[in-house]
Amino acid sequence: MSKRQKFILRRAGSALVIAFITITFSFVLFRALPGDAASNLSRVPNMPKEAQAALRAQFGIDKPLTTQYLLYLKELARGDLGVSFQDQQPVLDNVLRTIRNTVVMVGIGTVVAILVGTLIGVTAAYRQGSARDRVITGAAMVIYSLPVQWVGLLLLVWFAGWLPTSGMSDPYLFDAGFLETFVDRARHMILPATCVALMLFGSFALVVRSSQLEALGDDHVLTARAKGYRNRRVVWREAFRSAMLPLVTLSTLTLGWVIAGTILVESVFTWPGIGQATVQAVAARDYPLLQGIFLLVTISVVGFNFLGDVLHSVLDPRVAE
Amino acid sequence: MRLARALLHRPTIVAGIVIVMLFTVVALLAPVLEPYSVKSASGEPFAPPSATHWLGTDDAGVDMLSLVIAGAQNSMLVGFAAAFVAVLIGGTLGIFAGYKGNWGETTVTGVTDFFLVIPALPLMIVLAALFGQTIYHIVLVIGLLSWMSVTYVVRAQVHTLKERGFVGRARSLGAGDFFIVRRHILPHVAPLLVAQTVLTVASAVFFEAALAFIGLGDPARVSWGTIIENAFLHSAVSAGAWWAIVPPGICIALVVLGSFLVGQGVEEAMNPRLGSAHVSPKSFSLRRATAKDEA
Repeated sequence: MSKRQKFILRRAGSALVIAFITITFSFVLFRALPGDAASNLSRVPNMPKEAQAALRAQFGIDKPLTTQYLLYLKELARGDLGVSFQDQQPVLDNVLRTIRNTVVMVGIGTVVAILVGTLIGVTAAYRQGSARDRVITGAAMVIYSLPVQWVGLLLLVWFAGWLPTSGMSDPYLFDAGFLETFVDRARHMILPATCVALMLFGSFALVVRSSQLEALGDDHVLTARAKGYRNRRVVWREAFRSAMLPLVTLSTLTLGWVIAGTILVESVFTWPGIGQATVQAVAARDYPLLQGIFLLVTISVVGFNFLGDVLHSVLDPRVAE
Repeated sequence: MRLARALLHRPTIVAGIVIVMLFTVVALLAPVLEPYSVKSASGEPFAPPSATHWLGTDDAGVDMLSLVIAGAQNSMLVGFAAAFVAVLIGGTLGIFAGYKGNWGETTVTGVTDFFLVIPALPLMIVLAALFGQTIYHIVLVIGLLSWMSVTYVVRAQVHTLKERGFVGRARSLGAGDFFIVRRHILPHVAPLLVAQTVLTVASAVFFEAALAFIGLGDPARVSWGTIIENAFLHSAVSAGAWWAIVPPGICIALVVLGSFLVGQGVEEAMNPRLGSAHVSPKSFSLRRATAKDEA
């Protein structure tokens, strides 16, 4: 077995352990803390004792904790995350339906952020300390420190009337052809995706800038300069190639996190994705759905971290040593 | 005090300190500074900025400037209190892990890694929903999930301190672990703890605003987060009342930026190698011969 394979196996092992701890942690969080599902449901006034007991039995909260835990693991293994309090549908269906909407919107926003961030970061690093560099770094830092929901509200104020400001599609658009539907969806997506891109591009720009600065000082870049290559080639083909590594790591990390970070964006633009489902689940105290979302989001972060490790070890064999 | 002098020579750090201090003072003097009551209307709903209401009024006719000042009080309170909780936990764990080494270190890094992986905002939302929505619960929820980076930074610093001569000398004179940590480790870690506190204030203010926006803020108190939530819920957008939205966001951004500048500056000043230029400003000539590739 090569060193890289060993490294990947080790990372996979630790990812699995973390996933298992997460699953257990989420059980403890939702079943053992005060305010369990039934005590909240049974807060309905004048609810008879028998009905409360029936509720407890229905959700299996009357059994001892260890039995509950084993039952929970068994159901999880079958992909059963329970039933949502809100619409009595399986949690898994709800989560998968909403996450599709999120992935499309956030995916586009993230790709834009990576492209813009890279371009800006490399431009800023071209001449460290120049006016352009300082303006770019300053702007990236300022935008990075703005609250996302606030940026979203400002976008709403500026673009209300020009672009659709809420939802994912026009509810009055009947019998539309493919093209019409597509344009409608795209127009609805512009503002939330822009908001996601604004939220993310600053950190990409800063990371690319600093790793590009480091790469520009490398010996092979100096060699390329000495050979008389054009600046553009030196910057992109020589320096940026080695500066890309942190970018790849940050991208996979971000992909895991955006699902979590999209909560605020989706609330502002009432985008029917996983973030909005979270907020609704909180408002309705829909614990099964909340737990399902929490599990899925956390495990996706663990998964993307692992993917990042694997990519990193492929791109830079030194990390496996 | 060489560190303090080094800090005051950097304009960005001074700017950061001034910003954070300014908002802290506003927060402390809030009851005196508010021109109007935040509990009752003092003008027309959504009145634009004017001589009587410098920042206009919100949907209920409450003076925005007063709201922003009252918001500073609670936002900064959550920020500092949560940062204190986080640094207390992170600092203790970091010193323990760095000083103890071996199994202690393995355990602490394992737990820290786990909490780093869990996405903070969803977990905060879950906990805030379970615990309840008083300001103390919010402080706890944010503080309990913000200590991880503190642990790592402190642990690394304690690691290097442990190898320094004075620790070995104190030990050979018969000093106990507790004494060494208190007299020799803690004073050297203190500036770092201060820097981490200021940095954590920023993220705590950020998280408070996020929780408030989702409807998990303390309903009895005004914070920058609840002002933004209120503007969103009571259609400041469709009324075109930008003045009901803009000020709290700018305050949050300033506090975040200010504490970012301070925290980063202190870390750089303590670890000068971070600040070394790799490329000369004008063109890409050879970088200075500093050790860089540790990773």
